[in-house]
Amino acid sequence: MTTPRQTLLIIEDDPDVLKGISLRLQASGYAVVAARDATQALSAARNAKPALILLDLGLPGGDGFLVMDRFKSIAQLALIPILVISGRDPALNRDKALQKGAVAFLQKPVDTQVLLAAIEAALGGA
Amino acid sequence: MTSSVASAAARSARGEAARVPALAATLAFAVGVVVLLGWTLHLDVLRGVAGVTGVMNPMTAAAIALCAGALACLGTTPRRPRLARFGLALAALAGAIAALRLAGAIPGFPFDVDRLLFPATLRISPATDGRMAWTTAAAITALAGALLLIDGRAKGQVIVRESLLGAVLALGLEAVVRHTYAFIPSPEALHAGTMALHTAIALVALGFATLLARPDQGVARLLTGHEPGSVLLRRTLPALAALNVVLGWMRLNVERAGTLSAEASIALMVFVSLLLIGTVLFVHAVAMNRADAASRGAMQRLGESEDRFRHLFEAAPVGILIVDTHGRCRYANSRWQEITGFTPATAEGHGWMRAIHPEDRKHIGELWKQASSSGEEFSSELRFRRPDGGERVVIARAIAMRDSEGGLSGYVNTNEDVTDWKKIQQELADARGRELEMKDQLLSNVSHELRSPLTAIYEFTALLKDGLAGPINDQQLEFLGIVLRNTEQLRGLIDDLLEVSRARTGKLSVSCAPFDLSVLAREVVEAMQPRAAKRGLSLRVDAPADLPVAFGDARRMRQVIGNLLDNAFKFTPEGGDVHVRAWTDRTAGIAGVSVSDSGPGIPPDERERVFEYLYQTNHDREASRKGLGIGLFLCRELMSRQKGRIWVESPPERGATFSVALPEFSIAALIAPVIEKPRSPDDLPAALLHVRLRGGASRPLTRGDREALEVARDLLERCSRPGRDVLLPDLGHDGFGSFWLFARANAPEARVLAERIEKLLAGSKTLIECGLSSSVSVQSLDPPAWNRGLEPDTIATEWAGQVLAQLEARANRDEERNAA
Repeated sequence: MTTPRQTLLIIEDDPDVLKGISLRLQASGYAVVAARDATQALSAARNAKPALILLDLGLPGGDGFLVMDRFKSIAQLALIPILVISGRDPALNRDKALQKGAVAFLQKPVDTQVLLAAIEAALGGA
Repeated sequence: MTSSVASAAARSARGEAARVPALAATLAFAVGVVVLLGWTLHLDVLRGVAGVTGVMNPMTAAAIALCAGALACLGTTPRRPRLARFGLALAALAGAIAALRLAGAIPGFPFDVDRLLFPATLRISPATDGRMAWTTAAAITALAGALLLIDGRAKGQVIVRESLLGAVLALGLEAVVRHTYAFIPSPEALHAGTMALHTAIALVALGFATLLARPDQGVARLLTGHEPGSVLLRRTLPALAALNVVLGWMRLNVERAGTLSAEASIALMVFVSLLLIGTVLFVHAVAMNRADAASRGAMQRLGESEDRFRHLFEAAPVGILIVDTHGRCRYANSRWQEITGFTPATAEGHGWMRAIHPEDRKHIGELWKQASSSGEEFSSELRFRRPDGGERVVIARAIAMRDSEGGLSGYVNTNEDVTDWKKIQQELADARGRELEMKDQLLSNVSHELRSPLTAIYEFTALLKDGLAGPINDQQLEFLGIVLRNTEQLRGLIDDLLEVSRARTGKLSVSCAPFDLSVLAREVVEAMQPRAAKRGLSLRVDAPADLPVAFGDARRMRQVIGNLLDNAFKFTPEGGDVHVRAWTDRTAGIAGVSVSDSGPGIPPDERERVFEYLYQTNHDREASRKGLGIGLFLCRELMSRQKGRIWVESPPERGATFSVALPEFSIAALIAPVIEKPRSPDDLPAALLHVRLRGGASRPLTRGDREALEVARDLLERCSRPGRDVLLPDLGHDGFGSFWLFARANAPEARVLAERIEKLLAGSKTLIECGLSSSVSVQSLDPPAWNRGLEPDTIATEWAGQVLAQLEARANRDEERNAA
């Protein structure tokens, strides 16, 4: 793995999913910051300055799309790539997510290899 | 029944009356001609015998013949204008002859018209000077006048005509009576004006016939009518006339013989005439009473029948409106009034038309016109707008009413109120829509909610399996593998659930393009090999490289073939064979893939039903893994949306073979639906529009550009006119950013379409952001040769060839440019 370790921000309200993905990413050499809702996400992003954000769409206190809009409207956060990971129907949400600036839309549950490849591609392209 | 007998009688009375003029004209003409012959040939007996019948003057004979001719010409029905004009001329001539004779009475009038013919022999006996009698002259003048007025229909004209005829009849009958009683005052009186008997008879006949020549007017109407009064008149008048003449003659003879005194003979005559007249009247009174009773009965029955119909109309659960041939309201039942809120007063005349909703009036009027001109029954749904603002929907039907002779007499309209029924239908549809929406939402929620726990299960199992929570032994590794495999299966089921919800609501999307089914089959088999191996199955693929290009959605076909393989794996026992074969049927124009297994097969009664929604087989070896019963249903839905098909064959003991087929790709098949059968080659304009997107300098394609392509394709789809334009799929002939649009348009129309496309693409934010510009070129296509027939398929093939030629030419140009 490259040093220094890159920080990823995971925004996910389900604690089990959050923990599982965090463990997997840490095992793959990333530093992980977690947020459980939209408010936490914004402050965490400001503090940790993540290289990439993994975003769930169904969040308490704000739809994932609104969170994306907030990020894109704040200059210092607007350039952080966002990877959407959601259980929602891709046929209805993929286009919207991409339109709002997400780099990819992955449907839960995401195959580990696919997830890691998508993260690497997003970081490499950034 | 009685009324029909009466009308039949009236018809026959009129029919007989119609024969009288011809008969009388013939008779009178014959008399006139015979008398003239008598004068010419000096045959006294033909002229009339002086002192017995009297002698007819030759000019009288001529005038009578002229009048007879006039009547024959004027009495014909249907009236013939030229013949009638000739008849009027004849009548005028006869009138002139008679009038000139009358004018002879004026002292100093020099012209003796009755002496024109045979003046030398006119005085045939000392008793008579042989001249036309004054009464004859007057009667002929009156007859001629009546004939000239024969077509007058005004009341005054009718009165004058019939008065003249009355004079003719009076003068004639007076002469007949005079001859009957041999009442000739003196031989000298003859020259002063006693009509000859045959003159009198001829004139009476002509007068009567002229009266009957117009049986629908005045006195003639009374004489020929079927009313009881007319019948009485017809029956009693001749009888009474004959009776009086006979009685008078008898009394004269009795008095001459001197058998009875004058007083006794008068008394006898009064008694006998009273007796006979009374008898005649009595008989007729009985007959009339009987007829009256019959007609009352008929009236009553008619009234009862009318009542029955009125009650029927009133009790009918549908609105009934009867209109005449001009569309004026004749009757509206109470149900109709109830539906429309109109009263008989507001519906009067054309008022009922205002009940029809203003938005429906024009459309309904056109339908009505069409139905009434073609003679078909009118039937349509329409809306009524009530005066209170309410609206009612009715099914309206109209049938023509015909009278007994088949003539159109009006229309019966029935209006069935379906407002409530429609409302219920709408509510049902809405409820069903809401239910489907809710189910859809539920499925979507369920699939979403299932995914989070599934993600956690997957993640932690994968973490354990990868040894990230400490070392694990081989058995644990195997077990964790089983958990992961089942997680994968569960994920597939959730996907299916979502898909089926889309299929049920018609949202299953397919986007068709040409692709190589052979390559696709090999790729799917390749990806499935590990799973086949795991189950201990042998999976073979047989896909020839020279398969024709198929037209469908490659992504969906991957899904369908994957699904069929899943099924095959599930039902084939370990050690069995699964065989995938790509094939083509050139004559049917299809290409397909078949998946055969060596499983238990499918019994004949299930071969159709396996594709049904929620169908689960009872012959499943693994009862615990039935599946949701939607896999094959989805396959069928996906195939039908790609205009392909799916079916299964299962010979006994030889497993099952599922096959899917897609149409072979052909430009002709793509454009054929927009080509209608043309009327002429001039009716066949077509153009090919080439839309090209360009980046700046030749930079590589980026992710954003791919999205821009999708946006551009969407915009082009929106530009194309349904039923006239076809956006061709990406045929791979030319490079990135190339679109081809087949348009049924002539050169100016194609130019307009091109401008619209350019404008729309130039205004697209996505394209601008991606730095893409567009250009559109238009190429018109030549119409096919006239002599090769104008069937749409022929034309489509011809144009497809031209389109391909254009595409290839473009590809070659691009290649040359690249080489340079």
